[in-house]
Amino acid sequence: MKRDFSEVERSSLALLAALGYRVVEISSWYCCGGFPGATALEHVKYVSSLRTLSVAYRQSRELGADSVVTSCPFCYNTLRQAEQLPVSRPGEYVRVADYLRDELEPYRGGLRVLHLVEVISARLSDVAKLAEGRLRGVRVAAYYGCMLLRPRAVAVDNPDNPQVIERIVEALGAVPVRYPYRTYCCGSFHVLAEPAIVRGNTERIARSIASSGADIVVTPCPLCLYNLRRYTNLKVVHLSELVAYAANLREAVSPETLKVVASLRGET
Amino acid sequence: MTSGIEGAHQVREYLTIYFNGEAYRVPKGLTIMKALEYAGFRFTRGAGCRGGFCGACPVVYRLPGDYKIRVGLACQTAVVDGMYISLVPYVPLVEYVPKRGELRPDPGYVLKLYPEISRCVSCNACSKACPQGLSPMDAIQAILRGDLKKAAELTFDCISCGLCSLRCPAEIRHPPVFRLVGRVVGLYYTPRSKSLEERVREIESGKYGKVFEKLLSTPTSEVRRVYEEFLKTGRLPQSLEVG
Repeated sequence: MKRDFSEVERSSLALLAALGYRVVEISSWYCCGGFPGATALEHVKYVSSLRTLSVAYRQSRELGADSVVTSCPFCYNTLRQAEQLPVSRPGEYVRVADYLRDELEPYRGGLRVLHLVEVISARLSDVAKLAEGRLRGVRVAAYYGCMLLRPRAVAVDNPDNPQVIERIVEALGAVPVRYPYRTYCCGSFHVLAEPAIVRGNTERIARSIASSGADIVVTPCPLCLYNLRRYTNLKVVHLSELVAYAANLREAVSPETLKVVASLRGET
Repeated sequence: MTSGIEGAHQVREYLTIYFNGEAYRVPKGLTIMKALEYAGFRFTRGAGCRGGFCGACPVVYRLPGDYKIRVGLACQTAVVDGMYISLVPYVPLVEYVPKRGELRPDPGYVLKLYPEISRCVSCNACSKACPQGLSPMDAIQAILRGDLKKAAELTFDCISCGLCSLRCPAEIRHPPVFRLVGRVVGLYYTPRSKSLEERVREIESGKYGKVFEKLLSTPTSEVRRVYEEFLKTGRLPQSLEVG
């Protein structure tokens, strides 16, 4: 996200600032590689996320912070699973914590791990005020992808019938449209080694969205965004960018997204 | 333990080290390099400046009763009784040497040449192995998130010993990666040195040509005499003044 989707970081930070949050970057954080949350547990994969949580915890005591927020669904999924590790798999936790003890005090809980959608959805009335109905009448299809919903233990909403993004869309004054493939996997990392999987999955998603009559697709995941843009003709934007646009934080929105949304406003 | 006859010889303390599976009795207080030389080995590889700068003599060792693998430079680390020592004079790090004009200030460029850096699981084994006390992991992570400047800053003191790469489960070739990043950052982000450019211009214009020709045609004995005089008086003979 730092490298290839800086617009997501920019718009997320602008949005959080507009909602009155003070956001401080964790002094040193470690890429989990995106895999741990998505694959079978193996303790080495939790080293980076537990280290990140340890550093974040230490820093949170200095700052008086209580939560770790990320706008990347993979980071969210991994950090949230790591956060639950002492309880969900104590054996794994002890092994990783023991390994990390050389470097720093192992994380023992005390932080909430949140995804940006949880922060936004907790502040819907404020988001609605900021949005002033700028997207009124626009039909928005929410595409969730996997990482915010699976596994169930870390889902931000009911994984079978999530509503959280639809509620955000409503708060923006837009019209959420629901369609069957909202939570179907786009193919994710297979774009690297098995692009045919991604092509097939995104085509199904695109057909499902097309029949729903949506003007635009919004997704909370940069990788879903990349795959949908690459393999379909859908107009897709990142959730943080759409909300930032609606909240009149245009300077934080990428030209590409501005163009997509502007074309909509011309049509509606 | 003492050795020799009390009063007749200086009393010295000896200790035992293990190298290549053999025990050696060596005096206390020596560095690993000196101790091995005392034991009769000659360094034909894996020794350089002997001052802790060049990175040619990385060493891996364990201490009795401790599971930890420790690292250091043979020329800087003192022997400890019961130490198990292995020298690592060379780590196979195949380096890509960029062509002139091809460097780009783009993390993608580094990733393309060294794709293994994306396999970093941030285990931090590299940092634990670094005799310079650097954090190669933080530098690799900085590259992954696009911050080449930070990576160059964190690895400025790298001596390219390669111990980090030897310990890396992701098989990252750290020293060549850091060298590449250093080159990119040097070219694109570091302020240019005006005095260096000035001196290069002077050299190219031939300002020092005559002096150098003179120096090169002077016999070594004469150069030595001039040098020794220079050390004493701080002055060069007229014929070697530039101007």
